[in-house]
Amino acid sequence: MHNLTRLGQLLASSGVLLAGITQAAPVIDWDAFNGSAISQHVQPRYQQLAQQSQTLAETTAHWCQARNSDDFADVQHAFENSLQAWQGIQHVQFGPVQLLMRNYDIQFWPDRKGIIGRQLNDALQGPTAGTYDAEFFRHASVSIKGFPALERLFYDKGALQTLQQQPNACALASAISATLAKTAQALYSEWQTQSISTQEGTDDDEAAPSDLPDLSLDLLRSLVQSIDVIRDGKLLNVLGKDQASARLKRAENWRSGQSLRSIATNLEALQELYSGGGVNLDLILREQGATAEADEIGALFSQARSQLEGMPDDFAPALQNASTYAQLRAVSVTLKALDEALYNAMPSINAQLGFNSRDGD
Amino acid sequence: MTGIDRRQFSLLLTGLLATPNLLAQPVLQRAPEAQSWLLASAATDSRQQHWLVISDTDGALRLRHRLPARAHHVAAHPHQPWVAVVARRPGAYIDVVDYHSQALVKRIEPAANRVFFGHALFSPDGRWLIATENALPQGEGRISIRDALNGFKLVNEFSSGGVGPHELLLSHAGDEVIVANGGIRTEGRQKVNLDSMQPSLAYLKLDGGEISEQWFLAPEQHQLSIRHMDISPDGTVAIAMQYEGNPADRQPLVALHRRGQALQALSAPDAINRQMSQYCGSARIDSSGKIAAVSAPRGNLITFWDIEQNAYLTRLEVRDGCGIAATATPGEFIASSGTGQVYLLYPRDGLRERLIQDMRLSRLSWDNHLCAIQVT
Repeated sequence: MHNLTRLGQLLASSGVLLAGITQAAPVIDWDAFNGSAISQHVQPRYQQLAQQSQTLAETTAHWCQARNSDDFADVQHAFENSLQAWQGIQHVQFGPVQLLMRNYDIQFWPDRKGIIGRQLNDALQGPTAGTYDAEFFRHASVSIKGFPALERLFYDKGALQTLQQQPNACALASAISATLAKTAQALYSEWQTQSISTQEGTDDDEAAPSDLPDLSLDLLRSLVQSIDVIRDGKLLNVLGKDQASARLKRAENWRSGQSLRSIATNLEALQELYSGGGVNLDLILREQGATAEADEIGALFSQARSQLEGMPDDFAPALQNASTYAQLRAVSVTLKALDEALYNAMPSINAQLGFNSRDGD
Repeated sequence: MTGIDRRQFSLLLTGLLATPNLLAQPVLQRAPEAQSWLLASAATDSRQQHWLVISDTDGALRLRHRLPARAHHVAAHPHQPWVAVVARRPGAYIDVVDYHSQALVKRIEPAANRVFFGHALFSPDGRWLIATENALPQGEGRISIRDALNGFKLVNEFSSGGVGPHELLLSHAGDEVIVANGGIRTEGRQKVNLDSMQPSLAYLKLDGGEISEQWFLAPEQHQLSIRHMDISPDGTVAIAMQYEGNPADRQPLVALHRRGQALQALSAPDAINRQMSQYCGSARIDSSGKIAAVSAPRGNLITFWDIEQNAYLTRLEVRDGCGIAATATPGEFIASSGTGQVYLLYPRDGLRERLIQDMRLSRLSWDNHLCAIQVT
């Protein structure tokens, strides 16, 4: 019996070995991965941002002509659509958005030192107040060029009255939204006109290219590291140690009540990057034999998203209710597991995202 | 003694003593639109090419200097726009680079039968470059002193007081070098004396290498390698250690030292200590001198320690985080990671904030140490 068991073990292990030899993992086609991610994920999402931002600019400019209280919801609605379009591509922190610091132009956050408020006051009441032309924005602080500044103008207490009564406020809101639309359109155009090789090409080194192109590495980082950013920066920083120590004002988009909706949008976008389109990471992992890892990642994405379903868009009511607070804690636990699962899958595609822990000194 | 004689060197050192210790000063407070400080680090790209990189407050790339091999620590010159990047041990170069002109000021090579051991610093007057080295073939620790005004010529060398010297500091008075003798004898990077290693913290007179004070850990802790450290304004040294014994052992990984007293090992709570995985990567003290940050990249943690209370304070998660610098704000640090991320850390609030970097920087694995440079 004992010998039979041993024999069985030997056969089983040799079977594994044979399977390993006969089913060698195919070479990963990173170019195909890059092509799919750009044409089916990055470009459409920048297009969406450009369109929604244009709508926001037009809606704001139109509303500012009459400043009718009844129509103000249209402005807020356009703002929210545009903001969510940004949340859908916020994880891409490389490429054109990094040129000229446009990532900060679009969203200067977190603003721990209250810079946006001070800069807005200066813009509304300082020596240049009222003139919000291209020259103004060339010299303006990055903090007042994007969504957080608009969010203050549209959602701060008394925002509607201020916009109605202070011509500068409406003029500034129109100008910021027009600037934002222009930036978004430029980003979309640049992602369309720059070839993939240009996107990669900031290294001017003579050395042989690596197996993993920089663009693929950027895309993988966008996916993997964003989970940690969401969990830590957008959830745990707000949730605090317990419900009593939760801090709403640490949340992203708390003024517009969009905090949790933004997280849901982020996760939807990241899951699309993971498994949407043609050649994606999910497919590559499966081709490399990492089926269990791929299954786990997919399941954790779905779990996190379903845990957020039914939640309000706004963080505030969720923090006040013990059950929703606990549910958000559960989301953070799922995201932790997802972060681990994504990192653990990287070696199977020869992607190394860190090294101090492996070979320090 | 090479070049100038010991008497000349001692006289020159008096100039050093008169200069306040700039090295311990932290960077200016972060202002998003002020280009007030620079971050320098060794880094490695996906092609396994090695770089010295410098970025500014906004995450923009200011310098990218190709290195012949992986580097470890970067030391800033106190008044020239220079940094010295030290090869990883056993190291064959220290590159001194001008980050304004982007030019290589000097590639320093070790003397015969010497290798650099990862760390160096400039004296506060900028005249001397002081480095840890290893003497071959015996494997004895050495401290070398080179003259920046004379082409970084070697002017003095003495024993580090032990085996495997790694990070070094200057005393606030400027007359002593404080050396972390890791205790590990190596052949290449192979560790060969783990059973008999004797790490120590040594205070050595700069003008001759005389040991003025040297401390060893308790015998049962002899496998705790003393590797990285920082000094507070009151002279307390915070030490980050690496345990070379049985991975299942429970050993402290952080220690403090105050002049005239024995080394004081500090323990994190059990779960944190286990997560630190017997390995700390770097140590820095905040601008108030009250909080020490110690990175534990294998545990994806930056741990924080209350210096006055001799106690563990808290931790923040930073995946593969290793390099640490203090900002000018009390209780605030910057951390870099092997995953290409740079964070502002607010341990008192349990918060961290990602600093977005130029993609050429975020693609890199930032190496062991982070150097913050004030720009005036």
